[in-house]
Amino acid sequence: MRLPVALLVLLTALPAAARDWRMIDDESSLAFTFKQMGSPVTGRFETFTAAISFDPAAPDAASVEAVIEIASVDTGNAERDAGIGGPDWFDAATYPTARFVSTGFTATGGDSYDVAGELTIRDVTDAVVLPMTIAVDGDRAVATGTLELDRTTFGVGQGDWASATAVGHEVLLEIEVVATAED
Amino acid sequence: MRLTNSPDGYGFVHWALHWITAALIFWLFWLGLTMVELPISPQMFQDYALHKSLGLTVLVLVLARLAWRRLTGVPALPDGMGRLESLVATAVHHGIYVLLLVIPLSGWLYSGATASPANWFGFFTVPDLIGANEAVAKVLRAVHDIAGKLLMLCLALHVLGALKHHFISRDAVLKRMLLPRRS
Repeated sequence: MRLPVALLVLLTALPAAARDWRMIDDESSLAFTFKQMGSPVTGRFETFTAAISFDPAAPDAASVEAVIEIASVDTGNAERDAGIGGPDWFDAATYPTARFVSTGFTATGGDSYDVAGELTIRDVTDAVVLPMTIAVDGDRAVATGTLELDRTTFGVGQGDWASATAVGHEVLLEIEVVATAED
Repeated sequence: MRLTNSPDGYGFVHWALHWITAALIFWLFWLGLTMVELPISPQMFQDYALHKSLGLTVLVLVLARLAWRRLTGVPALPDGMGRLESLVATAVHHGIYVLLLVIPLSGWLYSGATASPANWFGFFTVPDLIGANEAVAKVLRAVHDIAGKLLMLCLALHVLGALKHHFISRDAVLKRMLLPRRS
């Protein structure tokens, strides 16, 4: 009897396990806006995955890992999309994906959380904090947030493109992830 | 110096609109023909942006000139022109005005169709008239190119006509556009 009791004690002492969620691809989006010659251009990455564990009751146990396919970029202009995947920009041939791995969720009141994590684009990894709103309604969750990035942090836009003259440095990411509970 | 047109000459406003537009058209032709040969580069982006800014300027100047014509009229064709000659002169004038509307408008639409919004010298972004659409972009590009070539043809006829009036008919048609009326 001793061993099972000990196991039970051990299990209950662990932090509450977060729920696992499956992203609904058709309802989720990853959009970005940047300035081209001073005018805003919006695009999106059509293909990305997110492995999500989250329970509002236990944000400490939450985690997310998102993988974005660079080649799925769509800015409404095929020539520009090819350029974005090219060596001066994301270099999709060498770095086919970008990745976000959370390092910690912090509840900031209501449905708001600061999601800290490491964002890897090309061969650069940078610590970022995503301010997210995560609304759970039964088996459905909607997470939205925006993040301003400087593309030069990640070496996106090499050579002549490093200047902000033609393409601005600031990029606004707009994240919307809709997911259903796995259990 | 008179501002308004009269039956025997052009006022300062029409004269200035005519010559500023003429200078911009030359600049636009030169930019348009050279920028399409450039590789995708910041220089290409800058040339396209300048071409769009100048083209929007021409659109406004042409609309202003059409309004000014309505308000103050235009000098009559000189006496002694044959029916066919008058017909050709009128057709070329009307053709130039139509092309000077079709060309910037197709360019503006093309900016929307290629999801590369136009702005005016970086001061403000003009709204896209249509959404991104590659098939429509192809048609608009063809319209823009063909209308541009037709404009070159019309302008050649326009200049030849002016020279014919001056050197062969020896009337005041060229002189009245070289110098605005003084009284």
